[in-house]
Amino acid sequence: MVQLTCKNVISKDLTAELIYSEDPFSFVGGVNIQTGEIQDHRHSAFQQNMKGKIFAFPFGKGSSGAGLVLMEMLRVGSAPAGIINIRTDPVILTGPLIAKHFYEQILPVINLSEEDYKKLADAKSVQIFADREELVAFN
Amino acid sequence: MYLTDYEKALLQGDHGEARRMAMNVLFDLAQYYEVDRFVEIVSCHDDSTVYFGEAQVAFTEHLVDIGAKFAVPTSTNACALDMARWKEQRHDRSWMTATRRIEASHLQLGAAANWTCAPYQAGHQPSFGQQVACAESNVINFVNSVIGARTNRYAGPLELLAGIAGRVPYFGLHKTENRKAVSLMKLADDITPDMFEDDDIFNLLAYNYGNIAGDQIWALDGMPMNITMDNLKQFSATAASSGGIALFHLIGLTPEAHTQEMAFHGGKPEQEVLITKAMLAQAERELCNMDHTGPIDLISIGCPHFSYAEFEALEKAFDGRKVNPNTQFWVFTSRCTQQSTNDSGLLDRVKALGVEVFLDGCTMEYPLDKWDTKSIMTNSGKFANYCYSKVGIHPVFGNYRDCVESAVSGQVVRGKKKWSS
Repeated sequence: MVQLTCKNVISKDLTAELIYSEDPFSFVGGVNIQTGEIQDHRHSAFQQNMKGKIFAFPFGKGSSGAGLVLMEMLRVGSAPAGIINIRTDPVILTGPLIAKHFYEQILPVINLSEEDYKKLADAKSVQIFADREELVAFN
Repeated sequence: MYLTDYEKALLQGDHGEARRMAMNVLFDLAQYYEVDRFVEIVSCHDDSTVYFGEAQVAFTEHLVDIGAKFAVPTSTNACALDMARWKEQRHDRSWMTATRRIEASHLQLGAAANWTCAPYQAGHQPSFGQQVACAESNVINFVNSVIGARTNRYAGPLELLAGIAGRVPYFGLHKTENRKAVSLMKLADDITPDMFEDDDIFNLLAYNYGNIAGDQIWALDGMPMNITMDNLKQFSATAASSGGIALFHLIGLTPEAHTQEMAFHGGKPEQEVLITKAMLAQAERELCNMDHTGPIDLISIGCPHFSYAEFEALEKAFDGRKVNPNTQFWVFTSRCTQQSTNDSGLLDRVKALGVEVFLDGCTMEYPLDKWDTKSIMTNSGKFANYCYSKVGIHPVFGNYRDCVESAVSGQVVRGKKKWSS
């Protein structure tokens, strides 16, 4: 078990399985919207399924359609349970922000320092909290 | 956070529910980035147009229902299909009806219905230094880097909310001090000037640029001075597909990088990386399906949307020859370029060569299940990068002359590449 200090961009109480990756990720083309399966064959998490899991990738890349993709994944139920980044740009934040304000649906987005991020490499699951900026990783 | 009286009124709902909601989302964004004030924008490019599913359609209709209107001129990105010729593309009728709903709601919000991913070649380009909010990764990159206007990487439908509120948090690339290059890429000596006669190089350099820069701002030294607007368009699109790039500097070419000193705001590069000939060849292997040498079923170009100059070059490359009957040749362009090529007669001449010209839509939204297509070729680094994950085929990548030669013969033809020897 590892305890880390994090920044809660949007958060809630949650424990979920982790998909960890050191490759940047594009939601456009990177994921099957209907199922949540990662379909970018160059990505280290290729063929893993993010549905209901916490998906860690260092930062977003590629098409700005990511906001629309995440909104649709939230609608059909294939969205990840949470996102962990080193840096979150507005492209990744769009879906979670709109879901929070317009649909009262919380898709947590958590930031870790680059050093702490790498400590998740062997973690199987992660716990985050609504009311404190702390992340617990379980191996 | 400093807020003007008007911004306080927006947040309280004095200017309606839509502006209140828009401003509240943007306020939340501002808090995350620890921003101390907002900045007004002069225009917006709206990317919530390609159909990904019901969520975005319902969301924009909801904005209309609560009375939203854009506060600034707003152009619309390409949508999923040609609104008039979707049947020829064999798109589902359900996609057409969804796209019509997207069109109706965006028009009700007050958008310009120009449906293009190259708005800067279709009468919607800001000028240097202006504050704007753009979505669509190639537009963000082009508008920041080539024009020198200021936007962050916004995404659909966040940019709708920026357009409705008429402002964004004043952070990131909106601020001069955040626009400086941190590191430098140079071209190695084995990249020789004659290699730039092949347009592929701009995509291969851009692919490397995106991989190396990640989500940081780098300057690239050594690009030729005769680079065209369309080369810069390709560079913007491809770099933004391999990386999370919002701004690049080409020393001597882009407006915030007349000199290396200017690009780095007087500072020194943190890192220097050389791009070598071998890295061009590696990028080519990643973008191009080198194993495919036989017949070519579909050549799909115009990603981002084809310009007038590109249509002219295409006609010259065909030199009166026609597309082989066993090959489809699709070009995607904007209504604006369609109008000007139609007025000059160029459009009819290109169509007479067997070229299919589609408007509004996107190369990537190809309904593969409706076609017996086994092979695709393109000159776009961005499309080549996404083609396997979006369409399901590893494409052949080659410049527009390679695409034309392949179209005429019906077989893959790629000219000798000087970086792969």
